[in-house]
Amino acid sequence: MKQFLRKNGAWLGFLVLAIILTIWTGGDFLSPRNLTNLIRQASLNGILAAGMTVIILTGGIDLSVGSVVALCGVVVGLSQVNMGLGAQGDFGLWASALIAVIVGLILGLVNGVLIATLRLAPFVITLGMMVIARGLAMIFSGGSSISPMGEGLNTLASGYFSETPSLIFLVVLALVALWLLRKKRTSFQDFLFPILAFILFAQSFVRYKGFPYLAVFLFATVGIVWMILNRTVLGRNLYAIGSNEKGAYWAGVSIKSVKISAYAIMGLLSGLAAFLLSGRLNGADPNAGQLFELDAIAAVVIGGVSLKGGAGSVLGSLIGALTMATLNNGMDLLGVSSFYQMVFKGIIIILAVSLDRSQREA
Amino acid sequence: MPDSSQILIQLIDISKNFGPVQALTSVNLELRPGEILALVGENGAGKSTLMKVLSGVYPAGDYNGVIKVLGEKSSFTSTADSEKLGIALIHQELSTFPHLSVAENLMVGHWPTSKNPILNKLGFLESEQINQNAKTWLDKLGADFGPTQLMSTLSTGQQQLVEIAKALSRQSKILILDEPTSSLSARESEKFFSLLKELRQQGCGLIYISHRMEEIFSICDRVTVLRDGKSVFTGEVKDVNPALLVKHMVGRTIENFYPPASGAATSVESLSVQNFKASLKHSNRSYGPVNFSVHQGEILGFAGLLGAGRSEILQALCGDENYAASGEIKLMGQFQSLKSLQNSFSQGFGLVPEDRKIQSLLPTRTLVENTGLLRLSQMSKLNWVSSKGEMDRTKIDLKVLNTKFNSVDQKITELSGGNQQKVIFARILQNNPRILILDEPTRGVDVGAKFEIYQLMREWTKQGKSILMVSSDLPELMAMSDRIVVMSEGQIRRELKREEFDEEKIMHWALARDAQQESTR
Repeated sequence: MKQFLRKNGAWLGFLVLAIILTIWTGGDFLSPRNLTNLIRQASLNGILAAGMTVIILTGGIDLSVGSVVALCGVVVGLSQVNMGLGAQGDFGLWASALIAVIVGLILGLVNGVLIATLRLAPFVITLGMMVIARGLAMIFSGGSSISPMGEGLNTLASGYFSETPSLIFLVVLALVALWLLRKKRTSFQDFLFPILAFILFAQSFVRYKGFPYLAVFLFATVGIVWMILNRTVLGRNLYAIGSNEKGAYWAGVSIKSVKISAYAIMGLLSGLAAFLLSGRLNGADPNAGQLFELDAIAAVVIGGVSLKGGAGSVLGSLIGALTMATLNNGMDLLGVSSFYQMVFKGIIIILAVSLDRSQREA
Repeated sequence: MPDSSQILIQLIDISKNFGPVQALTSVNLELRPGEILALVGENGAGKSTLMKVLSGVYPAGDYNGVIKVLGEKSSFTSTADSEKLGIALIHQELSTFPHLSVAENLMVGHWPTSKNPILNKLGFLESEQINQNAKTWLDKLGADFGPTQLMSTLSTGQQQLVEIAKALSRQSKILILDEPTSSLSARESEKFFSLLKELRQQGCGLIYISHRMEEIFSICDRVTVLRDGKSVFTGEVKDVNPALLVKHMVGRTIENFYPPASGAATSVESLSVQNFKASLKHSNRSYGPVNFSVHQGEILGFAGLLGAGRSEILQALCGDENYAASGEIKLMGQFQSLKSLQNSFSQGFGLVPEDRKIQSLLPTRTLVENTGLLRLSQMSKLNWVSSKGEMDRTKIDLKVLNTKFNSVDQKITELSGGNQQKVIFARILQNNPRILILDEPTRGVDVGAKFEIYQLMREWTKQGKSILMVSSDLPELMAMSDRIVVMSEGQIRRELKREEFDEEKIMHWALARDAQQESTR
């Protein structure tokens, strides 16, 4: 039981928050429309938080995320508007996506290579990259936003799978979940809440407009990052480095390449988030993405990942992102002014982390 | 028997456990003024734990039992409390501030604050006073260095002197010295001993923790022996002899303790190292050149004092990227260049590093992840890891080494030192090494597990593995090795065959300096 609480602390916190909001809003919070919006609000932060999890697990940090998102967004804008990819249907859409992801990946690689080879603090390198990428975003965009994006990108960021594909999608996911659960009780503990939450959201998608494309990107990202962390050699090495870098070194782990991989994954996901963001905003703004890195870090930390590295799960970060979105969403529903929202959000972050800490030490 | 208020310290029935591990069981100890009490016992016998209880590192409530200082029952909540009563613990690894001056190191935490009442409130210091105070104490101890010198420019012996001056400046009457001579040269040790004798004269009580018999018999008055967390013997030093002490420490006669030489050594040379030199990058420290070789089924021991370069040479041999290395390495008769750890591990090297906590353990991870780390990191990064497969494999590999654990999903820090070490062995063995480098393999391991580790080592030699063993525990090294090379100052001074093993001879060569070596050759 104690172990169950420890493993699922973040989920229980989310549950309590959801119940309070449901009662307070007289059930509006649980309406299919609201839950669908909630996921859409959480998706970009969730994708970034998944990447940030990988980095924080190694004991690192990436402060450049917001600026990298802005720069990649500008690149998407340029490709859609100036290169005319926006008018070229599906091909143009996916070409823009590829470009965004590659630019993000390159920036992440630069971060990683500098951190791993110069052996400098990630804080310093990514702080530098934060300023550089923002500057580049300004240079490439001439300082003003680029719009409009192509039709396809807008649809992708705001559209839904219709009901039948949604149902098929659900069934497939349910089968995957059953397969994961087939063996042991320990993994039941790990997956109980994620699956319950998934059912909650999925039923509201089906009852509202269907599966939002954004949600698919979010779940797929979290799923893939989970697979990397838990089922590949790279994942084992990422945890090992965060737990004890010297220990990993003497066991033959190539510290450099593992660290570079971590920052590359973050960069790649920043590119993906930038692509989706420019669709949602129907434009690319060089000022976009401010403080995205801090939202992502907050989600990771609320989700119970240790800032020292070596412990935590990407599923925790997902719930962290959902908690943050729930707070925004709930306070919107209650008509709390956005100024007060910031204050409450800050309080919740501190509260969540201190609760998590005291539980861990108990 | 002096009356009880005369006794500096009395520890009565001290017990302490870490989770399920009982570290101390009803330990009794007393320290009288004007005496040096030797506290001896095997690694893991509980000496350090006991001293941490005494100095308040483990606060009252963390242990059971009574501490009496000068006859008064005392309970400490922190080291500051014990310090107030005059107890100072001088650690084995000195905790100095290398970038601060000697005076600052001496006065840290007890700064002379400004005499001006306003400045005093604002936290200003009387900066001149810092150096003056420090100088007074350094002079008393006959230091040959000034208070303004940077700590990092001092030798270890000099740094130790600063630590002692620091303790005395705080009116400490009770000094706990944890293996103080482990990194001192012979000359420094001599000086250090006369200082200790002087302190004894002045009525201080000293608890002296050491493994070195000759030191105990030359300067200590009484001795208390710990074994498996119990105080098994206390008596006057003049009434005992080394053999008796060892018997108390080990709890059985040593002949049984080490498994007999197996005779597994063959004539097949598995590793030959010629003219091997290593220098630490970004520093002027270098080691070698050294020549040595080891045969299949043989255990080659590396003897020497701390800092003699044993670990450094062997780590560089494995391709540690912190060293620039050169020389010829032949593995089974084939020349090899070992450029990285990954490279040497794939060539059949296995390394159990010296400091388990710093260099081996993944403290936040499970037994499965700790065990599989080396084997998996030899694979491509995108290789799929089957979680069930890993668990089954870990279970088998840990059981083979007779490791005690509840579940392979538990964190490694929940195991005792000996079982943690076995997990590290399992990690290395998964890569099926032909050449095992074991650096202090029994450090921080209890007596029972030590015995098992010795037997495992014999078993591995029977399988044809070669073992390079570094140990500071000379009896252990002599019992286990087929040959011993003695190192000092980064050089191999002497190679000894089993029939030539002799503690004094080894110490002689371990203390050898460059000039001395020239003249005796």
